[in-house]
Amino acid sequence: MTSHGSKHALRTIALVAATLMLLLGVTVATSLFDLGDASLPIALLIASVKVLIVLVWFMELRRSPALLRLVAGAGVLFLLMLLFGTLADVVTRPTPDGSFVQEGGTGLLDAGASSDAGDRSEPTSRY
Amino acid sequence: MTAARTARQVAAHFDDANQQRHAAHLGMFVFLASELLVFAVLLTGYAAARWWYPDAFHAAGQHLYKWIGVGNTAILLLSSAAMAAAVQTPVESHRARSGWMLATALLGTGFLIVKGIEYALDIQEGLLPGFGFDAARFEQPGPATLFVVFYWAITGLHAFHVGAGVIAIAVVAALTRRGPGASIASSTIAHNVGLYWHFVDIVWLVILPLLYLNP
Repeated sequence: MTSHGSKHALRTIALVAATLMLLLGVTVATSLFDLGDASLPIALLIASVKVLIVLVWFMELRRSPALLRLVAGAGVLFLLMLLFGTLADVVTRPTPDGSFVQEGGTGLLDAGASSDAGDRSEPTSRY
Repeated sequence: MTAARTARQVAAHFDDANQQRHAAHLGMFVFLASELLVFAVLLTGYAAARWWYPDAFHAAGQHLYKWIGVGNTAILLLSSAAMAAAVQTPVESHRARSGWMLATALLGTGFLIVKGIEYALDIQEGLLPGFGFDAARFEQPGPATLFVVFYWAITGLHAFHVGAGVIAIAVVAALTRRGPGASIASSTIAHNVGLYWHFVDIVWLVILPLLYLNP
C-alpha cells in the first residue's frame, strides 16, 4: 500500500470512529428518556448498527472473501437460534412463581390462553 | 524481503502466503463464532431472567455506574480504531504499526483500570454477593440478586477477554517493532489479534445498553 493509500485508510478509520462515537451519543441520549418497553429494543437496534459498522469496516468484512462473511454470518445465526429457541419457551410459559397459572389455568395451555403471556402488564414476581 | 525469507514463512501445506493468510483469518472467524456462543449463553440467560422480572432488573440496574460504562465504551471504540489503524499501516512502516498497537494496548489497559475502579465502587456499595451484599434493600431481593450476578458474570468474562487481548496485542506490538523482517507472519498475526480485539469491542457494545443504560 502506498503512503497515500495509507493516509486515505487512516482517514476512513477516523470517519468510522467518529460515526461510532456519534451513535454512542445517540444511545446515551435515548436512555435518558423514558421510552418504556421500547427503550431496550431501540437501544439494541442502535447497538446492532454499531456492531455492523465494526464488522464491516474495522474487521474488514467489506473486503473479505465470501467464505469469511459466511462464517461470520453463521456465528450470528447460531446466536439468534439460541435466543429464539430459549425465548420462545420462556415467553409462552408462566413465570417461575406461577403468576399465570394462578389465574385459573390448570395446565400450560390453559395458562397461555387465559393470559396473554406477552403482556408485560401482568403482575410479576414479588419474592 | 528476499524470496527465501518469504518461502520460509509459508508452511509446507500452503501454496503461497495469500492462501496461508486467508486460512488464518478463516480460523480466527470460526474461533470468534464459538466465542460468541460463550457470551450468548450468558446473554440468553439474562434475556430470559429479564423477561420474567423486568421491574426488578430495571430497579437493580439503577445501582450501576452508568457513566463509567459509557466512558469505557468510548475507550474501547478508540482502541478498536487504533487497532484498525495499525493493521492498515503498511508493513514497511513497522514502527508506526507497533505504535498504533501500543496505543491499543494502553487504551485496553485504561479500560481495565476504569473497570477495576468501578468494581471497587460496586463492592463498596455492597453490590457483590457474599461481600456485604444486602439483598433486602431491593423490593424484589431474589430477582435483583439475579441481575447483580449476571452483571458480575458478564462483565467479568468480558474483562477477562480484554486482559487476554491486551497481553496478545502487547506481544505482537513488540514483535512488530523488531522490524519488517517477519512481515508476513506478524502482519497475519496482527490482523488476527485485531479481529479478536474488535470482537471484544462488539461484545461491550451490546453489554452497555443491556446492563447499564436500559436494564
